Amino acid sequence: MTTTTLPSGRIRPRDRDAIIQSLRAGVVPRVGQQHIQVGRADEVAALLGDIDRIRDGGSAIRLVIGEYGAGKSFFLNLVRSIALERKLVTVHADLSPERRLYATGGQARGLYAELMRNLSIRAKPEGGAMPSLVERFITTALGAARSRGISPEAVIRERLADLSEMVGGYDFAEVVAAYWRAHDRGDDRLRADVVRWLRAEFSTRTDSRKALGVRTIIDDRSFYDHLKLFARFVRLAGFSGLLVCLDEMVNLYKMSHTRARNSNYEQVLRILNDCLQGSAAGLGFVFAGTPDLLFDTRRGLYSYPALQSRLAENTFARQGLVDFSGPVLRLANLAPEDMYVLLTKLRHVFAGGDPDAYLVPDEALTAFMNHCAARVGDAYFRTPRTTIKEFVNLLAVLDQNPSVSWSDLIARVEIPRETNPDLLPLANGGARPASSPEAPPGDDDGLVHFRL
Amino acid sequence: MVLDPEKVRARLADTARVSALLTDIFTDEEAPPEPAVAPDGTGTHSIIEGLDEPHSQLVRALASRPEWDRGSVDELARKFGLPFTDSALDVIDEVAIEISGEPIIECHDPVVLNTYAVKEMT
Repeated sequence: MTTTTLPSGRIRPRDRDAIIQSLRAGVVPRVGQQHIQVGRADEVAALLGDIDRIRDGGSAIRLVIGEYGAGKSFFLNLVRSIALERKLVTVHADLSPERRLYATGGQARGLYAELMRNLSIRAKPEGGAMPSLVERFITTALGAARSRGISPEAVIRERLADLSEMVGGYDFAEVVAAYWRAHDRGDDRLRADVVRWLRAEFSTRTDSRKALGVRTIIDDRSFYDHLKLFARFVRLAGFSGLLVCLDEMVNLYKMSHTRARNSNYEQVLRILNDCLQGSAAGLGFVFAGTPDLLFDTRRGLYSYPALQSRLAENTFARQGLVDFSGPVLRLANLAPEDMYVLLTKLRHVFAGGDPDAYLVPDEALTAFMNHCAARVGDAYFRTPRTTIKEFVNLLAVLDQNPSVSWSDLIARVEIPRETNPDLLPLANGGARPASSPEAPPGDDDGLVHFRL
Repeated sequence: MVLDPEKVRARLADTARVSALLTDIFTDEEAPPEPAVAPDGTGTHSIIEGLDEPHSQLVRALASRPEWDRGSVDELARKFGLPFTDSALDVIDEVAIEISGEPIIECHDPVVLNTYAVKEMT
């Protein structure tokens, strides 16, 4: 068997090391995803189209639907990286019993807070970028203030004026202006309070009024209005738009109270309508969930008639025919062939992109897969996190011990079995079990285990 | 376990397509910045492509040394009208990644510069 040829091209040592380090730690690499992405060219192109539409001031929405282990979260991460590269601001969160789109007990505010904690820009892809974003906005305002010879606060208010007509916009502008005042006076407490307010971390109006002089807070009711407002703000700060990524949407499906579930679906409908009609300027959503979330006619999105009619798949797009223009994007399950191609990519990355430096021949890739199949059964390729990690570890040992033979090493590889938490019994109220020994909560997705 | 060679070929082709697409997205091949002549016609004080004047001035000032104590950088940034040092450095980093493929600021406190990116940018 000869070595499978892949598009060559050297990989920068810095990227190579970063990729390998991340994979060995079981997290999604922040750089160099182009070197390890297997297939899904059409899906990536579809999302790239969405991102470019958001950049042009339009809106977009996708439901990424795939089984456990189809790589939904990995895909979401890739989309997020592309969005950051295209100068969008991204926010992302996993839904959970404490984090919902609609609630009356603080769970929607909880979701907003989580999203904003994970706020990322290209220079800060790991999140926590709220202060940077506000400072970016103020810095551009300062430049204008200098050249026009007026006070910075006047420019800040002028630029935020068109937010005031939006729900919550007036207080939002007040709070942003307070950030500049806080900086000007060296008041770190006030500055921290501004960030807390913007992250929806104030839980009462009284506290908000005391700290910042504004009578509103970002709460359950204003969740979506504030996202729309925020999308406008990121553009004023010089970014191209806002992408909201919500994973584990299956948590809505798991809600046992019909009314509460339907209220969440109503929120999905509101977002969907806005995005399909293009009325949410510079704002896009990517939701990810399992097929149950979408198709179950008792509890899934299809149980809500208005959503079913909007999300129904194109009946012509079957049996090999595809349509990437609708809001639903199906991710096919991973197959052994995907894992094989992934292993060729990992070998390629490890060798810095130089086929002459490959540490193992193709036979070793299939031998490794056979070994995994024998150890954890033929579904091992659907939970690739540990498989990838072990393969990269194997390459690392071979690299440092050239006298060792790959076949001896493969026989020694231990692969722990992974469990699909969606198959575990539900706790009371339909919540996911708080913990399970084999898979941490929220990890229901094979490649999803790659967390940032 | 048997791999279907047809499927492997299809996956490799799809993977080659996605790699090309992503490489295109993640590697910016922009034209090298052209030095702009100062409006008064004197000297070659140039604005770095992708940056405004204050940020360009900060890069040029920082480029003279590989490492700075944070206080001096805060002072420099303020002098150029950039009150928020961290976000100014972030802005510079984003453009550095576009130009050189690497961030220019290795560390914010003390401020340590990546000499390769400095060379590419200035």
